[in-house]
Amino acid sequence: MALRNNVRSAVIFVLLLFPLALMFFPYLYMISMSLKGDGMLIKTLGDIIPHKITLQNYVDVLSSGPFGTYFFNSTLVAVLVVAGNVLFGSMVGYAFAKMDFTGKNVLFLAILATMMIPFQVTLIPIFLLMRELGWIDTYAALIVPSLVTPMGIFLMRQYISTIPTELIQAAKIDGSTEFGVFWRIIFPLAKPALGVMIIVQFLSSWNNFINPLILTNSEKMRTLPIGLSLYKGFNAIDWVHLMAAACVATLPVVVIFILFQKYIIAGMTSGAVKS
Amino acid sequence: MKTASRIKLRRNATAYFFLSPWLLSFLVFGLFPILFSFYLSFTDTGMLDMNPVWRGLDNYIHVLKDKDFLKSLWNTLYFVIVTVPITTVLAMILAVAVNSRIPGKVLFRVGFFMPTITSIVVVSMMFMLLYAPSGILNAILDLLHLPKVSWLLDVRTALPSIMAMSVWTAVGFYMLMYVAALQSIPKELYEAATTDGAGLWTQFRMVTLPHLRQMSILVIVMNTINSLQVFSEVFVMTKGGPLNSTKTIVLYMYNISFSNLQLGKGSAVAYLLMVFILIVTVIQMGLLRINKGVGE
Repeated sequence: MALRNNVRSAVIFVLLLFPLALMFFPYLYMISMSLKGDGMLIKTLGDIIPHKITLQNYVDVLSSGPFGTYFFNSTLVAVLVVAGNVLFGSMVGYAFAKMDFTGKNVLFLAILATMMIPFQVTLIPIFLLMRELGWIDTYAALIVPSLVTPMGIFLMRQYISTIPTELIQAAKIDGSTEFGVFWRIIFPLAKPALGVMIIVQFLSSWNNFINPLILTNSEKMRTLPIGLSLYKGFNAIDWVHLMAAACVATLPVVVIFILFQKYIIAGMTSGAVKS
Repeated sequence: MKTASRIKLRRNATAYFFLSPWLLSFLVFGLFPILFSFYLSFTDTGMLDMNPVWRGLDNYIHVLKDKDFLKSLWNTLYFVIVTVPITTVLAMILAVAVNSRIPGKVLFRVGFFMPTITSIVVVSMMFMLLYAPSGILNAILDLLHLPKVSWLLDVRTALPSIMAMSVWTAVGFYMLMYVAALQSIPKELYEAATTDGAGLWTQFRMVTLPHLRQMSILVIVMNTINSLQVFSEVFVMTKGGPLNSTKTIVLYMYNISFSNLQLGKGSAVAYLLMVFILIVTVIQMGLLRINKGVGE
């Protein structure tokens, strides 16, 4: 019986290697292309592995092109969006998890409703609003609308609900204000959920495409995904540099993912399930 | 009485202080845009002309009669009808395999989930490289003495090429949702089934499948909603071409709003999309629930 189980596991393992290879192949192909020294498109299968490995493409992309700026913009926007969600998400999540107030149910329904409505519906008015405010092509346009998101509130509410109410009551008897409770009890105890939030919000901001596409129009304000897609437009056949740039854009995400894969998977799938 | 109401007032004040960041954001970037967009959809608002005239249902009628829109609608539907079932079935099979007793589980999870965290622009670039006329796929075809294919440049293969990429991108995410569902199935059920002499296939049909039903509804509905909104990959890879063969509803909306500068019509498309998503979701949930009733 045990032997049969082992044979079965071995067979499944081997069968799974094929789809796994399909998953990894495009990444490896991208990396290989970014290291190629001759700048030519692959003509035969043997060319998958570069004949002459060079880092020159990376040097070109980071020094001569505007990719340094894109990288800075993506990082700045993602960091501030994460910071906003950490603070505001836990504040609002705390209120929904532990406070009683008039209109709680209606407001919670409003959060659910905004999660259900496709974002395309808000796209044009937000564009017009940003134009009225003079925020087109500024960091504010990329950051402010994402500072507090329904998904972040949801995540924090779920987690803070599991913190024992007695802790809060005890602190209040000791004379702590609501803000003191939040700052000294809820915030530190919510660290696991905050970890998930930081990662998920960072990824979604880093990879966001449509917002920076419509809300920025100058090269100095573009984020990496927009920069990449336009780079492609201008140099359709310059694969080696394009792939080097794509690798640069992907590297931080992959590093974060491999370090925190357990939390990321838990956070993203549970976030999706709850929404 | 008086103190009770004062306590309540104070409690509300504190709560609303904590809610204020979201309330502000919700009013400005949620509620207002949703209502304003609805209003815009009945006007002839243009990008440069901010003195809109009320046009009633004109935008909706114009859009619904537009051949380009109908083509985009068809493309989007085709995209959903093909990719959603394939992704769902593959995700379920992979989940059952990954969840069995095999070595290197983490490797499989990381590998299959990787596309979910990779920027869709980067994914599009990787596949443009694969699909390039002198790229690897054609090199393989050449090796097998098969004729080359123009993948993204051919009306017949452009949309299927993007659909294949979409399955590749999405399958790992839904696989992990199925893994979560599989792990919540009590082990005793399998033990009982084994004692009763049920084979693997019978176990899968009688124990696993019924327990995955709820998750399947969720996976199908979520994947459908996401696929109805497909935009970035088409925008990056083909801009809707060749000959509108890959134009989707959201790309149509983007073009009409930000290239043709007709924001009123764009808003109408957004609302049509929302209604469309709502209808499809309700139908799907209804159908899947009915199936469940029949199955039991």
